[in-house]
Amino acid sequence: MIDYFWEEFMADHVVKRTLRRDVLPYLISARQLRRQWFYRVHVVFGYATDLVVALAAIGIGSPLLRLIGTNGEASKGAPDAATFAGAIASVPPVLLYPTTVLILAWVIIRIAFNREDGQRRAVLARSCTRVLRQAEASLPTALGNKYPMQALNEMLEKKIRPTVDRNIQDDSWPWVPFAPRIDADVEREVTALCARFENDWEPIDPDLRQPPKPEDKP
Amino acid sequence: MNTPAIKATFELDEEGRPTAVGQGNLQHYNIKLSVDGAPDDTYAVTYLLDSSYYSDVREVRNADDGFEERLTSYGDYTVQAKIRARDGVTTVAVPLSTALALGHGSTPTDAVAAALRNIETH
Repeated sequence: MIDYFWEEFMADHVVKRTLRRDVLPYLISARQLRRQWFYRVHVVFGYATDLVVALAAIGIGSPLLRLIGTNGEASKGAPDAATFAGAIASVPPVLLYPTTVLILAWVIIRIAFNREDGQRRAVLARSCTRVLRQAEASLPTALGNKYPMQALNEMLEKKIRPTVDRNIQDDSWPWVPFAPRIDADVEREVTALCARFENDWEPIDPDLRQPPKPEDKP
Repeated sequence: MNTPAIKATFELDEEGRPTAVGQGNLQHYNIKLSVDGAPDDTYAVTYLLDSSYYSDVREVRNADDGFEERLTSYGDYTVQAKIRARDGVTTVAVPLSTALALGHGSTPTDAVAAALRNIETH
């Protein structure tokens, strides 16, 4: 009888259901934020800018690097226009077209990045990723007790959902609310977490208003 | 623009009586919660229930059925719903008995009225 009761609840324990439906889809979606175009472009621009600054600092800066580093602002004045012409003229003929294409692509990406608020979205996405990574780090502690729901709900309500909601409003979380094609990853992690912690969880009916006895509460 | 409101209804059997799970002297009525008038861009509703539920926070993402959530209750408490839309999060709260009264209209059947009274008094 006890075994039957146990199996009945463990077949779809509320903790397992919450991991599968709520917690893990958010955490796994957050990992995909780094693959978003604005996040990648932000990283590339960050490195490129640092590279330009470093080269300039050691005296190897060239007009072309200045052009790249100043975000295509060459059209603002005659001296810069001259610099652009000079930069192009200094390129070997065989590299003229690739260089021109590269510069144009760079300028277009820069404009798109600025117009689409890429910088702000990338910074928010990075912050969001950090918060959800912290939540993920606290998951084993939450799952390692008899009644994990209180800790899971607290994690969802205080950390995960407010952060995701804010980022959805700011367009730095591009899904509503989960990334597509994450089911296999979610299932794999549910299986791994349940294999590790499931035996610790008390079988309990989540629908009836029957709180655990105070002495049993974590 | 409509103001979102929490609506609740008893689940009824074929004879129109609220279904319930008896436990001791308590009747845990089967209830469906939903939100009326949620903005079109709502992607989820989070219901905050009484802390006497083991799982007292429920997230629902199915807009097609008005973000419906099933639960049981033997008595009254304040239900909160966080309506999460792209434009922001709106929180509404209402006593469960009020939401049930709203869900069953001004002329509930005798069985529903009795269940409502039972909820209100616990």
